[in-house]
Amino acid sequence: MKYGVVVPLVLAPFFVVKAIVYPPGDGDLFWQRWLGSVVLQSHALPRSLGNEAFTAAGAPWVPQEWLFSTLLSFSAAHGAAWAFDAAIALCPIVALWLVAVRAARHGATPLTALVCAAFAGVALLESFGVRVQVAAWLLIALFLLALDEDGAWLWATVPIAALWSNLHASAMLAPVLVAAAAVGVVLEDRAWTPRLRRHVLVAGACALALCLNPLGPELPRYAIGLFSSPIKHWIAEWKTTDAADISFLLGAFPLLAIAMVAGFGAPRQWKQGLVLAAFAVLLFTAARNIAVFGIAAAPIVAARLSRYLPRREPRPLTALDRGAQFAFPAFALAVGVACAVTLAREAPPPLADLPVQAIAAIDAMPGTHRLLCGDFAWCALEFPPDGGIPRAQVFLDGRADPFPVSVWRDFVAISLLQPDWRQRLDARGVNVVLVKVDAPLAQALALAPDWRRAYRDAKFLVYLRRGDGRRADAREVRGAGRIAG
Amino acid sequence: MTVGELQATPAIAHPGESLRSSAVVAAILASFVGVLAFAPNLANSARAAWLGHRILATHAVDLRLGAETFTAPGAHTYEGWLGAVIVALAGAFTGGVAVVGVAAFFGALAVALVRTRERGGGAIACIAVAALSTVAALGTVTSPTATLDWLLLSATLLLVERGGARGAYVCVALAIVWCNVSAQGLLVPGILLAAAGAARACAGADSPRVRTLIRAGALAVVAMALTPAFLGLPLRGATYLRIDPTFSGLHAWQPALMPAHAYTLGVVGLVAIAALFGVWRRDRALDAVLVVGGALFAFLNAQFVPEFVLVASPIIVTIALAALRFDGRAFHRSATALGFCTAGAVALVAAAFAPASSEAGGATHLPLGLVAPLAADGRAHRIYCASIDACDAFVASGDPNLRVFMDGRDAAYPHSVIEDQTTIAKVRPAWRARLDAWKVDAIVVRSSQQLAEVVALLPRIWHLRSRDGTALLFVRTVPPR
Repeated sequence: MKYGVVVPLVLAPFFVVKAIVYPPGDGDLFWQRWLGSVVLQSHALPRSLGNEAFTAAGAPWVPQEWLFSTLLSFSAAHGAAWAFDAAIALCPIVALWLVAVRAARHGATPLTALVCAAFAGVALLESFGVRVQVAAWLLIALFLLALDEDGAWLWATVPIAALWSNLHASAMLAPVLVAAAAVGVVLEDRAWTPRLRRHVLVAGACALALCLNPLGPELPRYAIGLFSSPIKHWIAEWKTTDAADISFLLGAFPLLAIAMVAGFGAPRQWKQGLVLAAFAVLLFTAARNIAVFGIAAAPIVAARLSRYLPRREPRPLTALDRGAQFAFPAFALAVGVACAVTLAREAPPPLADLPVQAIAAIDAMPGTHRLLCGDFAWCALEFPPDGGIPRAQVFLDGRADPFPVSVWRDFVAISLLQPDWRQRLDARGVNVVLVKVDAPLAQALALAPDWRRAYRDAKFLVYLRRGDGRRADAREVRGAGRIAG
Repeated sequence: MTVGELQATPAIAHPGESLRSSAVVAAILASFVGVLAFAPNLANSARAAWLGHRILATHAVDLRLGAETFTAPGAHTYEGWLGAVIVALAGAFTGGVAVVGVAAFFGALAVALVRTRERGGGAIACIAVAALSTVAALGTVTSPTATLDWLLLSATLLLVERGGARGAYVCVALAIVWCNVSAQGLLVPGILLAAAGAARACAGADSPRVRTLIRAGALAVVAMALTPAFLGLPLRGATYLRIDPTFSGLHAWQPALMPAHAYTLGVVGLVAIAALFGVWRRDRALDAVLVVGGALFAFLNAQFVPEFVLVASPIIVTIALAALRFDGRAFHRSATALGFCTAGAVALVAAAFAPASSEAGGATHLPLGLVAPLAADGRAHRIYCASIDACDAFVASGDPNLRVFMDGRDAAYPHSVIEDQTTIAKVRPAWRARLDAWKVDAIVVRSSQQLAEVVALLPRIWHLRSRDGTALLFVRTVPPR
């Protein structure tokens, strides 16, 4: 454990800089802040989509991210957005520290714990951002720490599951993991022991804990429905994990490779083995689970690896050892800070990758707009941070899940220029399209006679259906609000 | 140490199970034939047959792209000449039926060899896992060359694991043959040297077996150059093995191309079981290397999923059965029932997934009908295919007037051409400029592809000339700018 803090210390400055200095990678924070404002104003959760989504007004919505959104909105409204970002940055740091704690408790040597925690850290890097999933990483690490227990502390998983269910629907994992652990205990004990009874009861309690949130039983119902939902095929984060994901290739795969060689558990230690086998399957269901696998597997893999490596007999600490215990982490922190400073200097301007100006240009155009965004998450930029009504109605936005499959099919058909994409645009009554300059849809709209370009900047284009926004017909708006001649 | 000690663990004989599992293999063969016959994806076979016929006619192997392409004539290429000749000969008899039959035979034999590699019983379980996983990928792999790769891989592993010193040297001969069949022959030296390292780790010191494997590995390295391409094959190994990350933009190389069910059946289950139990055994270090190495290849390019399954299933299934304290010989009593269940399950998987696999492969059939109007006008054409496999049909036609932008020999084309191919297929900015720059006058595209939609928006420049199923042929009506 003495070197367990090294990996969190090295990566801590990176996480903090990435969270506070770097712009958000997608538009999710915009609708989440909007949701938070709605919750703070109405003291209730919206349960259906409103008129802001013209394709699915009234569709049932389970706003599973309500707590995250509310905290985000509250902090931003009080000028403490940076504190919220810093708190999110703390989540992976503490999760990695818990990885080291669990590794030590499972008997890993300092060296193997360090190496495996480093792999886990790499597994986190690609997915990291100010996102609700990142906050869930901390709860997963805490949950697994409690799940390691066989005694009364095992009950600590229940409140963690309850808190988790208020944060993110991945809390659905909680009863599944305890159930897998209970099956492992069955295989280990082969009798109805107090240990087995406790695991079964805790599994049931965790299942009930999923309902301890304002959404009640809707949350587990939503999570189960999402598991088989076809919309996952159309969201990049849900794509099948493969070697194209650097965090998999350099983070999760080495852990998996060591596990394939050494196994997740010692012979007849089924509890850990089955829990981690569940995470291994999860790893391949979607790229978003790479980080979760890293957090779960690293401690156990480190412990298993330690059994195959020569172990030195413990000896009394010398003055040099004691000095190294402080010097090594301090050096790691210094390296991390140096890297983070470099990273901060190279940070792009705020919101550089998002079509903020293009959305502003659309809002400035006359008429009523039914907007389709090439990346559906951009449409969330239309949502006012104060919880007000968006200026334009959107086809599909970052809330994603509540939109019916038929809307998704139309969106994919239009974005990928599948046959009848123009008929679908017409049928949905879309009159504004926001696309990236290199999108196939941009090329097609440029050739379509019933569309004209109304805005452009270095990265984004806006197309208007001819006949809409008449006052802007004669000229094209260029980036930064300048009017082209 | 004597030669006898060099022999690896002999296969444990279970005569009853062996006989019955042979029946299972026969049933699997029938299923493979069914899959391939009903979901053929013959584009690659057509080009390989064309190449084979050329070799047979000219008694020479071309190591450069010819005038059949207008973007990169003269570029270095290597396709296994022996594999091409096998395809040509198979096709010479009864056309596609023989090609399908030969491909299925190689595939089933590869699965059958899995039975001989298992140790400790449970042959049928190993076959079941291997067959279920490989059959799911079959729709994308109809070429006899691909299934011959499976067979040669199984044979190499069998020789390394059980063949002793003689087997190691036979592997060298196998490497020479395999490198001339396809680039996957490059795997042989790696397997031999990995086996040497594993044997060294097991013994804790040099041994005659280690030295034999090192010598055989070194000879296999030399064998890689014993092809018409000489050093060209080993020097561009990563490219020819299709694990070169610089090709990631090309659709055919994308890791997730394999349909999800094949990936799930082939990799996830085996990897999860391996991780659950761990494959490390002090006396079998090679198992760990094969499982981890095979998994890495499968993750780098999903086209290696069947290879991973063939490599890993005998190892992982045996370890899982042992960890579960399940005596493999218990299968004896119910071997026949299990055999028929396996065959039935394979047929079910085939019926359910093969069409999807074929669809994922990109070309469900060759757009042969499109060739006719272009060939008939007697003029030279520069053809762009949005799916490069489709251009194989034009290459295979052998018509000197039909020159293609890029065909299935993707590893041979310069990066600039691949970039342009991707730019046009994905309708990125400047796609029209690229078409003009290369003076393309015909485009072949499936109706579901993005390019079809944008080209259709330019009726004054691109005229829809003909249609063959879902394949469309657009012909330029205005000279390029």
